Amino acid sequence: MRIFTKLRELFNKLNKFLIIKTVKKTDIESLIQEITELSYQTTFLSTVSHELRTPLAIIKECIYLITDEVKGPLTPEQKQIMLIAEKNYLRLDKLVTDLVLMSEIESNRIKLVYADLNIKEFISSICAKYKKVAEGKKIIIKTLFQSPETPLMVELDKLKMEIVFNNIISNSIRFIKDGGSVQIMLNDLPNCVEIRLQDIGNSPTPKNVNLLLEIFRQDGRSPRSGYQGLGLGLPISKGIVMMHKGTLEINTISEKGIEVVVTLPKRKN
Amino acid sequence: MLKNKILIVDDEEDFVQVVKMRLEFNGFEVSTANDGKEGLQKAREEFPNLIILDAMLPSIDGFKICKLLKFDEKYQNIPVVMLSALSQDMDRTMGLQSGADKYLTKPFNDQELLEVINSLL
Repeated sequence: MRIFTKLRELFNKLNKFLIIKTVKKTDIESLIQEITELSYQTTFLSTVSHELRTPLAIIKECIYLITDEVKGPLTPEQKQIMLIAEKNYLRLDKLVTDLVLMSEIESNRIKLVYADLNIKEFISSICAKYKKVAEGKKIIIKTLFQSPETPLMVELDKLKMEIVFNNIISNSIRFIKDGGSVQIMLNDLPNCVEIRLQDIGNSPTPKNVNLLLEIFRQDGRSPRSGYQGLGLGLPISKGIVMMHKGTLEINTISEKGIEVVVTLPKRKN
Repeated sequence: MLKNKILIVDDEEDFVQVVKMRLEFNGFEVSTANDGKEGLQKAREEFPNLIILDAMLPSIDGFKICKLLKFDEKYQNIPVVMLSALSQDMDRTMGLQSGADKYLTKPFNDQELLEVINSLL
């Protein structure tokens, strides 16, 4: 999204140069160079992602050909080894999927498919999905909605919005340590809905929470042991929310808690 | 019982080999081609029951092969499943506009591929 906005600014500048006609040749040349550089950045991510997908597909199929015992039965130890291979394939697959999505957001190549959705039901169903994992870590997930039975309809792209809230909720569960809580509140405002997710755990809050919205940054949140990622989850979420003409902000609420605030217009126009 | 024949057209030899193993395990007869020209020729000569077609191929790309087959009365009834690493909305639209019956992206889901094949045969 940022690259796309910058590109649009540069094209507007170029347009103005063409109108005033008295511009220096060097100014136009440096502008074209800047546009070329930005275009390169957008195509780079998408090309790299594409090149990663084919070998990944082959590795995946090899793993499943063996685990499905297509070429003969496996010993328990061999099954154990294949489980490790599968787990790491899935990790790599998630990274590539995130990279592709981020490159699509950066270059504004996503087309949203809007539909009416009861946001209360939608968020509750995503929370329900994480309940078991959270319980295993003694983390409580709570939705605090006023009149939970009354639908609150919002026009949005369901599949894309699932990515947003999956990222936000799974991030909270991943980063707060055992015994914390995740609370989700919803405010029905005149033209938009505001969703507030607060997580409180035992990890110290990062000094600059806004860095969590920068790509390839996970600054300050101390991940659980063994977790590695590219830090794309929240930037992807913010990009998708912005495509819906909404906002996503992160605030510090205590020494050991942060709040993610998402606002979404109720209607697309 | 006569087996259904599937033609896989993809320039990634390793990919062709693993998909071939999977399909043979599930009871299909499999033929393969590693570039667009060979793929088109085999489609016309062997008349498979279904074609799995990559989008980016040497000599003739998958979109063009699909159009050539789907706009030819003789071959238009052969189901074509495009299976490509190109995953953007516009690639999917291009695949379906060129006549593909289904557009799947890599890495694909075995079960989904088999379900799609069975639904098209």
